[in-house]
Amino acid sequence: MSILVLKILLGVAAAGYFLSAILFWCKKRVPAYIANGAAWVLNAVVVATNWVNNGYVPFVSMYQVLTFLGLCFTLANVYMVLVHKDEWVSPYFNLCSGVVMIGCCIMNATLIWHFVPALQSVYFVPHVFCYMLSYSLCAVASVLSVIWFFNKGNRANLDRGIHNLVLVAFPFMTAGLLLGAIWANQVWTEFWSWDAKENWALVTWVFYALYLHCRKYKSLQKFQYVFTILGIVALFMAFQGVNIFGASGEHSYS
Amino acid sequence: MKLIMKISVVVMSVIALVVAVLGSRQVFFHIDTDFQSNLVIWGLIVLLGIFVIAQVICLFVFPFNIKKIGFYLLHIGLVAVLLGSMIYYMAGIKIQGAYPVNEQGSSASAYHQLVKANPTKGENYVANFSSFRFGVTDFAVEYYEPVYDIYRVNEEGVAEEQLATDIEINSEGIYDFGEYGQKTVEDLVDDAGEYQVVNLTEDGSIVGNPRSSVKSYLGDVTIVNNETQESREDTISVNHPLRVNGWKIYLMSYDETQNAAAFIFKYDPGEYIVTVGMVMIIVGSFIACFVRPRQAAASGKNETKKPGSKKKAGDAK
Repeated sequence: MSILVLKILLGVAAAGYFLSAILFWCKKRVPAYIANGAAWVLNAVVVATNWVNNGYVPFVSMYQVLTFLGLCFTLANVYMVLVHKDEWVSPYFNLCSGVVMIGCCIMNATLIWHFVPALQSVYFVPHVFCYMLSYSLCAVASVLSVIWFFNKGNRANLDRGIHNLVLVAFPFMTAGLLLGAIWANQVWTEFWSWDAKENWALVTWVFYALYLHCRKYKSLQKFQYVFTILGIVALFMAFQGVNIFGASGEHSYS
Repeated sequence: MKLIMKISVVVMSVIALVVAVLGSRQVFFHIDTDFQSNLVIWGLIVLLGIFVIAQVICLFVFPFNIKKIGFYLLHIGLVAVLLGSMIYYMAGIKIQGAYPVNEQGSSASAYHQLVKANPTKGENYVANFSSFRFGVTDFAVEYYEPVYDIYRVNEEGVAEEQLATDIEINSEGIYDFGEYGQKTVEDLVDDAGEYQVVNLTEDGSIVGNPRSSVKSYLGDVTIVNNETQESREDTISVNHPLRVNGWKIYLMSYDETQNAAAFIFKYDPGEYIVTVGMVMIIVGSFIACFVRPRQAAASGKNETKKPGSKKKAGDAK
């Protein structure tokens, strides 16, 4: 499948995710789920094509990882709906998926990426998977945190929703961070090299840990959403900023 | 407890701020910090020390409760990671070495450089390191089939415009350059089997450049224990370091022109403590975030039901 066809699929998937978000807001549940499902299937087709092109799991380039991130939003959404009965967060998951799909459409989508020796590790898939799942949850939590500052009428619901999201995101982020460190000790000789991506990943983790700590005591609760918003800024720096600004380091191929 | 929590939050915030400053320097100004000598590391160590003390106090002050097992695992794990890292910082040794490949596994012309050593016992690394001999008997590098990129080049042969990218070999062993025709592998490789830059037009204005990457490095090594004179033959590859007499040997790269492989030898007495600590943190965070919230959610449901049930009772009356 050519790059053009894949990009068209991603564009249609983005439209499907956005349509689903609008339908959820309009309380049209069944069409919303159908649009979400259809967009997710198109998204999955692109991920599967990347997988076939690679011959191994498609986590090697940023384009491939972002297409997989689109899938994670819906997976996380399904968990939130089934376990926490938080269907009202569904449009935010779809909105974030749509934005990521647009990003995939406009970025350089090199199809052939070779699996270099440093990446050939059992830690590779769980490291990336844990991070993508936590990033999808954190992105939605940050959107809700911004809304929390402006919507005084619905704060209790938002508060519970954000907490549920971070409670799922945090252990996966922890696993992503530390499995990466254990892997680094196998391949780069050190658990921690203080390179740009690692530093921002640590800052992100500390910010979300601070959010969870601030919830414990009433006098600190006023700071909690400052940390979820700072967390998403740090997360963006770790995930994209390091690549965009061309910082050197061990993570040069990620 | 409020005070300890507040101190923890302040220290965590300062750690985040310091690391964010380091990360910003790297991202925006491309300045890396030398952690072996820079004062920043000592600032971080002081902060981490306060952080550890605050956690230890928390662990002792809070009454023990088995339901908080996730909390204990996570926080004891953090202390273990910091402790193990400190042991490595104080007692770890790291040596970089380049070994010529020869059938005898001779390391006579190997080149060594001390990368990191215990600051108080810097000279002892030689004694430790000489507990075994190491040599490389054979080395294999496997490459992926290259992909070709097409460029328009000027008269000096400098690329001016990229016209196509990622042209890969098809199942029939042919590279299809579209309007510039097709080439077989035989057309593209030289006598030594190396893929070459190919002229796609007669005037040489359009060229195809091969781009290949390494698929695997595999070294056959021989290790002789100097005390017992026992010899061990093994293979080493990236991501699969060897363990010898408390040392870990990593394959880092291979220089084809010198026919020599680069290794790093690391002695890290804190490694197991750090690894166990990290596993404790991962397991603890999952237990703390997935098990406890259900209890909280359950109690939360009870709290929200109570007013409703009272109302119903009132309605019934």
